[in-house]
Formats: sequence, C-alpha cells, structure tokens
Amino acid sequence: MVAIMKLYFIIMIIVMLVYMVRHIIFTYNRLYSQQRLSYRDIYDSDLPKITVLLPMHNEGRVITMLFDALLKCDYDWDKLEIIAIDDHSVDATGQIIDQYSSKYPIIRTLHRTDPDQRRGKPVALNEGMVMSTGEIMIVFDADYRPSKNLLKKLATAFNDPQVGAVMGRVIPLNASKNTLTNLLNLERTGGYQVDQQARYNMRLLPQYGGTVGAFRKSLILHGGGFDEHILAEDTELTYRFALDGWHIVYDNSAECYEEAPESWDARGKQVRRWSRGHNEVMFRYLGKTLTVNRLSFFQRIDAVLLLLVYIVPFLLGLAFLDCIALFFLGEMDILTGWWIVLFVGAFNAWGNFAPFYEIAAGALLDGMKDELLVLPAMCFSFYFYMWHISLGFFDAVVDTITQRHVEWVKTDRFFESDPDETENPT
Amino acid sequence: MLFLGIFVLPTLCLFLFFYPTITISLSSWGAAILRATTKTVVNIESVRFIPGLGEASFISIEGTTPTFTHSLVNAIISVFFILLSTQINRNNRPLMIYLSMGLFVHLVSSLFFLVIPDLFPYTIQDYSRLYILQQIGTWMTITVISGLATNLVLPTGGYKYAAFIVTVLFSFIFGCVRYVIYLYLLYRFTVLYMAALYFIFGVLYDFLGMIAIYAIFVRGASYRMSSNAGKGEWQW
Amino acid sequence: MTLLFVIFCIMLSLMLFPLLLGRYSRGSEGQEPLFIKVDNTKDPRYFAKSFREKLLSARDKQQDDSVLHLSKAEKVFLADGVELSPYSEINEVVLATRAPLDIPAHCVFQKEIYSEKDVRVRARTTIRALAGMENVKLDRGVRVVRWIDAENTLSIFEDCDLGISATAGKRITIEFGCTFQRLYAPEIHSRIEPWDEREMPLEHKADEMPASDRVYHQQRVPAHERIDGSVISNGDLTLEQNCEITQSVHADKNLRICSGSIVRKNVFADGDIVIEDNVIIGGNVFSQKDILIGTHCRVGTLGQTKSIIARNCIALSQDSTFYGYIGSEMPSRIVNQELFFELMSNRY
Repeated sequence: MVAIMKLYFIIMIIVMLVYMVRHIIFTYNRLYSQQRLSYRDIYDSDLPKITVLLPMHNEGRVITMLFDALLKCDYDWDKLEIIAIDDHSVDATGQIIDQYSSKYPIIRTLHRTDPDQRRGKPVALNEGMVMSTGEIMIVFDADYRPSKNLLKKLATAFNDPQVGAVMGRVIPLNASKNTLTNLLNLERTGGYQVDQQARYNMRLLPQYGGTVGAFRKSLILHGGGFDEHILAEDTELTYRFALDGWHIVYDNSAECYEEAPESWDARGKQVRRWSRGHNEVMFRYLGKTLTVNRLSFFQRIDAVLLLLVYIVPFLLGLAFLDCIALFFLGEMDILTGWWIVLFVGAFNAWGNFAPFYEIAAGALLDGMKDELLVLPAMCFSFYFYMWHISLGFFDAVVDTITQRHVEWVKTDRFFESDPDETENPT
Repeated sequence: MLFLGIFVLPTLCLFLFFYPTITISLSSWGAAILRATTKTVVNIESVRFIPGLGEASFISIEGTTPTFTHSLVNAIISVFFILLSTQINRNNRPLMIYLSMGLFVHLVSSLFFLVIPDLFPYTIQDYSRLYILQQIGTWMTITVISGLATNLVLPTGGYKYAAFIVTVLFSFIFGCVRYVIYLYLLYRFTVLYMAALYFIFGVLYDFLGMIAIYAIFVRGASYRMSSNAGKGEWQW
Repeated sequence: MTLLFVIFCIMLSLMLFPLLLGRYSRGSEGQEPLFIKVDNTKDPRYFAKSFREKLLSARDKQQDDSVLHLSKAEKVFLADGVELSPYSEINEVVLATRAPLDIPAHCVFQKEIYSEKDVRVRARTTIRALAGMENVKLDRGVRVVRWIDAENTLSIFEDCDLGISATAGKRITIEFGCTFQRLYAPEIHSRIEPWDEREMPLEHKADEMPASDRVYHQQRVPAHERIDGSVISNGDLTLEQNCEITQSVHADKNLRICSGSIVRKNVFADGDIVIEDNVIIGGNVFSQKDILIGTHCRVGTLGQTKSIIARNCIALSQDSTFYGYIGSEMPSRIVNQELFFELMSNRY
C-alpha cells in the first residue's frame, strides 16, 4: 500500500514536470521563435457569408452593447446575418432582440420558449444553425464587445480550405475591478498571448473557446450538430475537428472584450461547469485521441495534455492527501528528496491555467506593469481551482456513469448597458 | 546561455558542493540562538546526503509530544475554524480554502495525537534533519527554476541578474530564519504542529517569494521596455 | 529572546511580502484594460491617407507658409516653380500643388513629399515617403525609405527599393530588380506595359453548376485533370500541368503548381509555394514560407481585391498580373526568368 502511494506521488511529479516543460517550451516559442503568420493580413473583397449566433438567456442587462458593437462592424451587410437566440429568458431579452430585429433586417430572432424544450447553449446553437443561411458561424456570448473589424478577421481564415475553426483572443474589460478580475486578466494573458499562440506556431492544437470564435457550419452539421449532452461544446468541437484532420486556427489580433466574473462564487461555478464539460469531452475523446491517425506525434501529445487539464488539479489534490498520509506513515524521507521540491515547484509553476512565467511573458508582450504584482496571489487561487475543478470532475463522472441530463447554468453578469443608449450604427 | 553559465550553474554548484559548509554554519548559528533562548541541550549532528559530497549538518534539540488535552483543544479549534472559514470572507475564497486545507492537516495531526500518539513517527531531530535536506534541495531547485524563468522572460541587462540574485538571496535567508523559528515553535509548542509547518507553511513560501521577486523585476522590465523609442501605433 | 523575536519578524516579513505585494498593486491607479482599437479598419493605403489627412488639416490651420504642424512643427519646402539640382539634399517636407514635380537624380529627401500633380523621381534618388494625387513615376534605382502612394498609377522602373509600402489607387507597374515588402493596387503588373489580354476563364457560365465543396485528400493532381472541389494534402502537394481545381488547395508542407494550371479560388501552404508559368489563381495565395510566381501568371480577379502573402519572401516574375495586395515579412523582389529558375531549383 505504501509502495503504491509512493508510486502515485512520483507519477504526479512526473506529470507536473511534463506540463512544466510543455509551458516552458511554449513560452520560449512565443518569445524567441518565428511566429506563424495569421490569416488576418489577407485583404479579400469577397468574403464568405457569415451568420453571427448569439445564444442568450436572461441577458437583458448587456445585450444592447453587443448588438451596437456588431452593427458597427465593417462586414458587408449583404453577407452578414445575425441570429439572436432567446433561450427561455424571463427578463427583457426577448423584447430587446425583437426591437433590434424590427429595426435592422440583418438581425433575425429565434425565441425558444417551450418549457418542454431542452435548454442550453449547444441546443440553442443547433437550432440557430438550422435556420442560418451563412456558411461560417461566428459565436459571441452576450457580454462581449466585438471591434469593427473582428468579423472580417475571423471570417478571412476560412479562405483556407483546411481551416475548420478559428479562435480569437478574449480580454477582460473589467480587469481592474478587484483582485479576482486582475488575476483572471493575467491568466487570460498567459493563456492566449502565449499558450494559444505558441500552440498555433507549433502546429499543435489551439483550442476553440466557444466565443469570439468561428467554425464551418457544414462540418458541425455533418456530425449531427453540437452534442446536447455535453456542457463544453467548444472543447468537443475542437477535438471533433482535430481528429477529423481540420485545422483550428488561433488569431491573436482578433481581440474582443469580455466581462470577467467579479465574484469568487461566480468564478467557482464557471470553473466547475468548465471542468464538468471538459472532463465529459475527455472521457469521450481520450481513447480516440490516442489512436487516431490524423494527428502527428506531437499533436497527439498536446491533445492528450489538453484533455487532461481539468483532471490534473483533482489528481494533485489526491497527491496532496497522499503526501499527508505518507507523512503520518513515517515516510517523510521520500518527501524530502530533491524531487519533492520539484513537485512543489512544478505545482506552483503550473498551478493555474497558465504558469507564472507564461503569464510574465504575456504581460511583457502586452505591456502590463503593476498588474503583475498580484502574480503571487495565483499560488493561492490554485487551491480554489483545485477545489472547484475537482467538484466539476465528480460531476462529469456522475454524468458519464448515470447519463443524466445536464442542466446549463450561465455565468452571472455584472455589467449593465443603458437601454437608452442604442446607437445608430450608420 | 551566458547567464545560465555564469550565474545559474555556479550558484547551483555552490549549493551542491558546499552544502556541508553551508549547513554547518547555519546549524551553528541556529544552535547558538536556540541555546540562548531555550536553555535546553542543543547539539549539532550530521547526516549523509549526496554520496561523495559530504554530510549535511542539522540542529538536534529535545522536543515534547502534546498532551491529550492539548491535542483535543487543537482538534476542536481546527474544526471550529474550518466551519467558520466556509462562512466568512467570501471575497477571499482562495485564501480561505488554503487555510482550510491547513486546518484540515492540523486536524488530522491533532486526531493522530489524540488516538495513537505513540505511533507518531518523528521527533524534532527527525524534522530538523529532513528540513535541512529539503532546504538544500529547495535552494537548488529555486536556483534552477528562477534561472530558467528569468532567462526566458527578462530581457538582457541588469534585470535578469538582479532578479536571480535577489531570488536566491531571499530563498537562502528565508530558509535560514525559518529553520530556527520552526525548531523553536516545535520545541515550545510540541510536535503537534509539525505537519502544518511542513505542508502549509513550508516550501510554498519559498516559491511565493520567488514569484513575487520575479513579478517585481518583470514589472520593472516592462516599464523600461515601454519607455523606449519606436512606440508607434500602427493600425496593422 | 530579543534576537529570536527579530528573526521571527524577519521571517514573517519575508512570508507576508508576496501577499502584501498584491495589495500594493490593487491600490495602484490607471489599470486600464488592454487597449483594443475598436474602430480599427484595415486599409492598405493607410500611410498615405493618414499623411494626407494630417497634411491637409495642417494646411487649413497654417499661418506661416514655411511651417506646417504635423506631428510636430515641420519646415516646408514649396516646390512649385523651383528647379532642383541633382545631388541635392532636402530636409524639409516638400509640397507641390500647382505643377508636376520633377525630382532630379541622386537627390536625398529626408522628409515626406506631397504633390497634387504628377511626380517623376529620377534615377538613384532617395525619398523618405511620397504621396502623389495623380501619377507617380520612379526611374531606375530610386530608393523609398518608408512608403509611396499614387492616387492613379505608380510606375516603377528597374532596381527600385520600395521600402515598406508602395500603393496606388488604380495601377502599379513594376520592373525587374525592384524590391518591396508591400504592394497594393487594384491591378499590379510586373512589367511597365500592362499585359494580359487573356480572356478570364474563371467566371462561371450561367448554365454551369456551382463548384462543389467536396474536399479531396491527395498529394498529387495528375496533368490535365479537373477536380471539382478543394484539394488538401497533409504533406507536399503538386498540381501537374494544365490541371484545374474549381475550389481551393492547401498543403501542410510545400506546394507546386505546374504550368498552365488553374485554381479558381485560394492557395495555401505551410511551406513554399512555387507557381510556374502561365498559371491562373482566382483567389488568394498564402504561405508560411516563400512564394515564387512564374511568368505570365495571374493571381486574383479583376474587380476584386485578393492577396499574396508570404511569411518570408515573394519572388514575382516579369509579365505577370496581380489584383490587390502583395505582402511579405522580408524584402521581396521582381525577378527575371533566369533568376526564377535558379530560385525554383532549390525548392520542392
């Protein structure tokens, strides 16, 4: 028994080291290697027809800002369609989208009000795609603020016949609100500016994130649409496309503001949901990822490491308990070998969704300064994530075993748009 | 590569090949302070560490095990604070979860001493020995991680070297002062607190310090980089 | 005991300092979110348009004819009616508003030039930047440090160095030996006299079926084959002579399009793209490495803007036509056939 505990501990150290090395490689690549050209440099007067899907549930506080921003985009309106999907809202969401639809012909509405209908983002997207006329789907969550040329940047990549999906960069607008938003801003910086870009540079697997992203409608519909049983439809799309040989592209310049959660409770629920959805995808795709032919060796490794991202904190928590047990069993010798320090080091170096040196690299590239000083606080937020991610993992295990219906819960909003400030985009 | 060769590698070698000297000095200094403070027998012992590279010295001091009452009170207080931490200060969830984990470890330790105190596998001497061995490893690992991270991200110039030197110095000084304080705490308040000191107030703080110093220097480098000429604004 | 207390305080300070650092940060002001220019729209002629706007605005407010306030106060050289000598060096912003501007050979212009009439820049002159409201002609060996723009036609003779950007509102003609990084015009011809009178075979006839969106995975398209759909290769890809692809092609490595072939839409490769002679590409050409385009080729479609983009260099042969934008990260050039074959011989 003690031998198994020691072995588990050593295995976890190796796992942490693998992730640490991976992130060091990504950081090095982002800072010093040749950066892969993005499709945004293409000038093309003949872009595809796109449909912007806006799934919403009780987003009355924020959607006018999103609509106003979209209506200012410089995409040719002859090739643009916006489908606002009111998914069982009980606030003013339905009325607001009807107002916009009556005023702007490019905006169409889909009201999902039948109480017997299944709810949630994947279902809403599926129904939106069926009624859409565009060949490329672009998805935004309601709290996003796309810039004028963002739609063009995302759509241009689909000139490449092998591109299946495109992911842009998300930037918290409320970064300076409190410590949490500050930390999230740093995480995003490390995750997008360094991690995603490096994975794109190295032809690995950038992740489609479900918002500020675009995908080919035909590819999803060919596979029967989004799986309505999975919370993380974005991760599922990533693996579905990658395993079929389609490329996921990351465009670092396709930036969009988002609203980061401002309370730890909201963040905890969000992370728990992400963990649940991601682990559902992990259960479903881990085997296929290991065996599929279409991925290269390094792509396969990266794909597996990405799949395991939301189970590792749980395993680390187990390792922590393992350490405590070993301690009280008198096995402290193993805990004081040089490798324990690597464990702790890797633990804190990896820690969150981006390790501290990735975040520092991203912050330097972005020109951040004083924001960096909250970096030590990330070490503590890891414990928070470990807790909520572990809960999400258990949720996913129960979902998979019992095949229970997954209830979609959206992240709390904190912003509020002024309903009188509906601007005329022309 | 020059930075790694001129600074990082020699520092690593310093800890690796001179740990006997470092630990004997640290132990002598710590022992002198503890003798003056505790009025008890404080010796210096040694243990084999890396074969062929000499022995590491550590402080040997007598300790006490907690009484039943002491363990019980600690267990009750731990439970109380664990429950309290779930209710208060929602703005500081991560810190509360971290402290709850610490309290959990302390609770386990308290229960251990309540139920099977004779089976506790360590004395203060054991802790002292293992602390020193771990601390040598910590210094070496901090050297490597700090060297790699600093070399990777900070631009050339004084920032890289300053960050590395300050980090290593921080870790060294912190490791030394913590050694003496923790031994005193275990002597004064019994080995009941050993688990908490090890798991919750242990190596994590070495890394916290490293990351904090790193953040300060990266911030400085960022200010410097943004003050350079050529900050033109291109639309594409 | 005092000493122990001091050591305890030191330890506590060292432990708490990382946590207190965050509190200091939270107290800092001015933490704006990362700036996104939300009203940004890409424009390949941005330099010239931005300069013109600033200049015209400054002229409206001008009080002294010899000074213009652009980003800062700039001395002005009024070129109307002034005959410059060869080997002159001008350190002022040059304005020509009433008469065509004829810049002699071997001159150096340290600041921008603005002309509302035709401009001719004679051989071996160096200019920082030039915005012409009509036609601009660059003689042999002219060097542009930053950018050049003509509202109508930009004609570029041999061995010019075009700096960062050379753009025109109607047409660019460019001769052998010129180097550039970005070119933009509705029509770009790699010879002084525009060529290409071939009937554009890309428009579909009314009774033809639209191109299929089927995707074929293969590494070679045999000569004279017509593929209705796109072709994707996870390695190298070769389109042999006279084949036709109705949609796009993509190669994960290198791509070669042999002479006489047609790709109606886009061409993408992670490696080098070599396009031999007499090839027609209807859409964009995009490479993560180099692009070589042979003679008598056409890229793009008249009336549309398409792009040729390379991560490294682009080598364009003479007598080819391009519609839209050409851009590379490293200096690109116009080559002759001999040099083209030499470059091609080292490629896939």
